[in-house]
Amino acid sequence: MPVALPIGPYHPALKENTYFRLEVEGERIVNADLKIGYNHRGIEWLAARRTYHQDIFLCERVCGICSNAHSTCFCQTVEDLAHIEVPDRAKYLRVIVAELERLHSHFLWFGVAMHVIGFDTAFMHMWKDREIIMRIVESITGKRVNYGFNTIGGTRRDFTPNIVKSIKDGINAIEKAADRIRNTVTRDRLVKKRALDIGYLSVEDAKRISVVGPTARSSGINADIRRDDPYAAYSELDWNVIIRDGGDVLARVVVRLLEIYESIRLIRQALKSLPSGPISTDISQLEFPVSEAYDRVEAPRGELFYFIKSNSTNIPERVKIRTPSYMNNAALTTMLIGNSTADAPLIIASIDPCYSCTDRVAIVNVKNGDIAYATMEKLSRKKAH
Amino acid sequence: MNKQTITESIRGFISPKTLPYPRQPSVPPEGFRGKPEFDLQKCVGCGACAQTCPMGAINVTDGLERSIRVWYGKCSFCGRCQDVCPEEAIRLTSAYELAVFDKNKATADVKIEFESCPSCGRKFFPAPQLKKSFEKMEPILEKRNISNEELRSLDRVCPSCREKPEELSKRKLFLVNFG
Amino acid sequence: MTASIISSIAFYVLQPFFGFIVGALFYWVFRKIRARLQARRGPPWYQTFADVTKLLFKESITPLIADKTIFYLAPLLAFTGYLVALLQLPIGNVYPPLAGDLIVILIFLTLPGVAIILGGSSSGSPYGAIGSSRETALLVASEIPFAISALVTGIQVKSMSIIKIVDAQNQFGPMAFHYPFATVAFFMCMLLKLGRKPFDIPDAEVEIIAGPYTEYSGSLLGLFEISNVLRWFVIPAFAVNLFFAGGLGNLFVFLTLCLVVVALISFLDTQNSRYRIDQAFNFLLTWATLLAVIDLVRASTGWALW
Repeated sequence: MPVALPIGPYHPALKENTYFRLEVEGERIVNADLKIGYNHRGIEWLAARRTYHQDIFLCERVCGICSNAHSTCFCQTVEDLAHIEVPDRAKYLRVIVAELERLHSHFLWFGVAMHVIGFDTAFMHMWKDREIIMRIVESITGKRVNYGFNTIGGTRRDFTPNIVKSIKDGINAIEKAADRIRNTVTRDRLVKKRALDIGYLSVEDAKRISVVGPTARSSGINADIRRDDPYAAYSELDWNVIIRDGGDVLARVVVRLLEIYESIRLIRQALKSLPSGPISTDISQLEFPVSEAYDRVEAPRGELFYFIKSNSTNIPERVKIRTPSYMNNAALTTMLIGNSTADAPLIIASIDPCYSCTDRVAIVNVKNGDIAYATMEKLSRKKAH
Repeated sequence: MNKQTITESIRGFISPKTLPYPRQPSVPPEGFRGKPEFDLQKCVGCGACAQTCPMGAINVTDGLERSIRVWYGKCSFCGRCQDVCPEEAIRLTSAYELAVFDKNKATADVKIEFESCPSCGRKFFPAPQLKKSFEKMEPILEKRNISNEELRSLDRVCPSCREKPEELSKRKLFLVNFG
Repeated sequence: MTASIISSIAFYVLQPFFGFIVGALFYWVFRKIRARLQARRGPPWYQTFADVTKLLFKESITPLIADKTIFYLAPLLAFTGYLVALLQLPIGNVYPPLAGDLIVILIFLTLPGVAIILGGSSSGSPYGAIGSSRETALLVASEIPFAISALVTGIQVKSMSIIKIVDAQNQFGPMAFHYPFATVAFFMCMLLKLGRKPFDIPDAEVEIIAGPYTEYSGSLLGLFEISNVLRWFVIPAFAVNLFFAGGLGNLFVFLTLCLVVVALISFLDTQNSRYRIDQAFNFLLTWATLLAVIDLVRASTGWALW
């Protein structure tokens, strides 16, 4: 007789609130259901009421861990819309900060995965190493999260020679830290016992559900936006896309570990071939067209998609955000069934869910194609028909 | 149990990596974006910071004088105000311990006096901003041989008084002489 | 006659306080060493006292569907178990008036496990139910090696009195030297009795919130916390008495040996992750039991290796 076990909305395993309803028989999960929307803040509605420059900071705060990806994607979409040319130095700077963010996100994920299986010491050690990246980013941009590094037309701050040197030293320390993670994760018998053959997602299921990012690449799907649809300076740099076809939690661990090494490689290349020049284009005399544009970046969790439609004012008409966690969450119900409850938090953590990214709502009136966006407040006041 | 964790634990035992804050202060690096502070000498009261703030933390209230107030509860320390200020009067310092017991104390404000219209006496424009714009116009006026005094007396009049017949005729004369 | 009555009463009154204070300090040592091994600093010495005091001052909320009698009974049961075991243990040069019996201590040390099971299943929440089922499995699996390795010492001395076991070690040398396998098995079960990794499964925070403790709050949880603090004195003291010659009759040596045991537990706790329940069950019933049984055979047949 299956017993319903709720995980969430309040649960120590989750960093943000979401609701999983697991039906368990003893310790085995027989059915799983997912409800999201607890972190909805009405960001798309707010974005249509603030100027483009103010929207950069608003969209940054969609997510704390991948905030630079959001601001980069927003700025790139506006630059596509208005045909603004970004100087080369700004492109390389954007690549370096984006890869630093990917590093910090993967280190964070490793710490959380270790914490979920109970290995608190490894969690503390990995986050101690993550502090190296946070300090580098703080000296570059002024903040540890929500960097505020991008502006429309380029970046806001430049790298002094001191900063370049501190990045180089920091990356050497990070490489040693990545070796430490590799030793901890691959040589600990208990870690392997808890991660092998857990949360399996086959290639067919992955394609059907359209997962993105490291979750897709660990199930054998060959997709990376940095190579398929290059942005910033990625077309001029040389790196590998990591693909594994294990499909279980161990494959995701390996993919993220190797992506750390690729990010280190990218940062070193970008620093070496950093061109000189201005860091942003002057857009004060720009004539802003009435148009629409979209763009995608590879956030640490997968493909992030922005769509912006402009009217004749300096306030966008519509901003649409599709985050990677939105796609990856749908795979969870498939992955959870058949495993035991003790593995459920690890499986949920293995897709690196970010529910802050996931929740926004737009209401489409199907009769006349009208689009209105609602906050939770407005929705709750509507009368039920 | 693995060798890596054991060696790292012993290393961590000998020297922990966390600061015993607040016994030992934590100093942020240079370029840290902390609390924004007004420089009262430089601010001209234009209100560009208030217009651009994404959080709406800077507010301009006009009364007998202009009061520009930043509320640190809403400020997200993004630095847009520092970017757009034409006089570099607002700077983000590295202060980050901003907790207060009374939220009304978490503010800072600048009071800018208004210029009165010589014709109707209404206060309509921040005085330092007017002064600064005249200073910026000096080199251009000198090149064209226009007297600053005359321009000033024309521009000090408020927009509604500029429509008055005597003011309109003065302006037409000015344009004919120097236009 | 009256002097011995007064000293007995003094012992029974002071021993619980001594056990609580020393237990709180041992718990602090554990947390400090664990923090340092994780490259951070750790709490100040008064942290445990502050935690327990705070809990005792808070309101205790009982769920509507909980079975009230058993819900209130469970913390008392846990407290009783550790308290009675505490009163039977010799502490260095202070011997309990009523001679401690090994079997009695073993029985009363199972009471807290039973209390957790009762508390979790009577609370009416699914997390409590799962936590109780996990604790049942672990109790069954761990009592066997725990009891066998404790009884090995009794069989060696041919008596079940703790005092005779300690005195015998003063002549023969510590039992850990004669019966190392039993000591190792006992240590594994100690990790489980103290709720430390790799066996902290019923209290696994990330999986089932707080397991059996989920619906407890306020003073009921405070009573659980007090008994958890007591166990940090009772169980290392039990181990030192059984296997390390009870400190050779010296209070200072006794407490130092207890600290060594606590430090070792702290080290083992930081270096391991958490077992899954079926893996823990297998591990305890195979390896730990095997080690304990080897020494049981050695003790009962008199076939000592050295």
